[in-house]
Amino acid sequence: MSCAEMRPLIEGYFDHELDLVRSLEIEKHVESCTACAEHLKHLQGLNLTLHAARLHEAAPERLRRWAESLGEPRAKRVPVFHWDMFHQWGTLGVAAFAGAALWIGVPLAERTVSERQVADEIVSAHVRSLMAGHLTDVASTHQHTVKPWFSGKVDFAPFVRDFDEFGFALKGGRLEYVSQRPAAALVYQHHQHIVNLILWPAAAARDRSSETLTRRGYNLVHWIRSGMTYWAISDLNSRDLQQFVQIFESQAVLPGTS
Amino acid sequence: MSPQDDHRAFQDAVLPHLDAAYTLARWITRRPQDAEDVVQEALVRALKYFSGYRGGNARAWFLTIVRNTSFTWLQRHRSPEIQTDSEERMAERPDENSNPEAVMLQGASRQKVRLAVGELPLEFREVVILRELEGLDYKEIAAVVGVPIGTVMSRLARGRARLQESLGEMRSSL
Repeated sequence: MSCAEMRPLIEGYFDHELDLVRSLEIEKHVESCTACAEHLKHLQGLNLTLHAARLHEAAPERLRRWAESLGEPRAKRVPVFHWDMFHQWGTLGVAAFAGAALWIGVPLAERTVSERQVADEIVSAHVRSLMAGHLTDVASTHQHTVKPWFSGKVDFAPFVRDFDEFGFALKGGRLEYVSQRPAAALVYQHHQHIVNLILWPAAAARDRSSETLTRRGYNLVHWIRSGMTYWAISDLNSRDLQQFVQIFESQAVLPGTS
Repeated sequence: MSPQDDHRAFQDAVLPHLDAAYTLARWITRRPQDAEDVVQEALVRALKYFSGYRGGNARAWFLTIVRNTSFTWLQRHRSPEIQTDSEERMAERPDENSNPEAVMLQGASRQKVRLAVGELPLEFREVVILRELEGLDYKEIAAVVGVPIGTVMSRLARGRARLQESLGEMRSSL
């Protein structure tokens, strides 16, 4: 097969559109043909360039909220029933749900609604932070630089430590505004992945063990410890993110626990 | 199906693809505000036609609506390829008086890439976005754009070649 005939197949190969036999043919051809190897390299280069330019756009929060409410039958008018709960309890049947609602009642429903909103805000904060120049307000790998930076900006002292020895290197800190209050964001890097740990004083004093959830392709872990609310978010897989949380929890000297 | 189930099913079908929808609309209309309007309109259409959606590839289904809404929107508001989009170009063009190296370091290369993509003719631009950014396969792109797979392949090849050309200069200067 000539190079001219090969050319469209190279793109098909690059786009994973060819069957195994054809793919092997291309791989063999590319080994011996500089022009086609060059073409393949250019395709890869272009793909990397486009991704590096971050052409992806996150839908504005306003649009997302609007989309989430679209087609909602009467949710706003029946605050006790939230669809998340309905979904969770669906398999147990409405009777079980109604029974449960008697003792869990409204607070859980409200908690679910507001937590969903907070999770959305965390995702938005994370996505914003990944855009050019927004990752850190204070860029430093030193906890003694990052921690004091927060004083006067937030009304609490976040626990800041570099976990480089565990594979999570501190990159810096950032001010966030979540759930209508200032929050501290600590930025960590694990290989190519950024982890944002966002924290602020919890409304409820009771500790809560970590819960994981996935939103818009990101993994999130949420927990409450010693009066602080924590949200860790990353495109890391769930297991690695949970590992990060374990490292943080095991290392953290938190107020009232030391 | 109860209204709750309907709502849940609709949300499950479209919400995971909202960013993809916004990105596609953003790169077809080339303006963020327009993209927001288009996606809103597309969502309303999607809800309206949702009863006719038989399951399957929700992303391709929703992106088809977004793509068609974008085109209707362009036709209604401006002629796509005559429009020069001066507003955005002014905003994204790097300062030509400044030191080119410094501009690169400040992330202007990103702007250049965005400019190059924005300048692609619409028919190439949409397939490049769908393939390179959204990762749709040829069959899905053919369904979204409404052309045969062969056309997808040739448009994609030409779109990529044009981008290589306009970015080649940039790369060699890096």
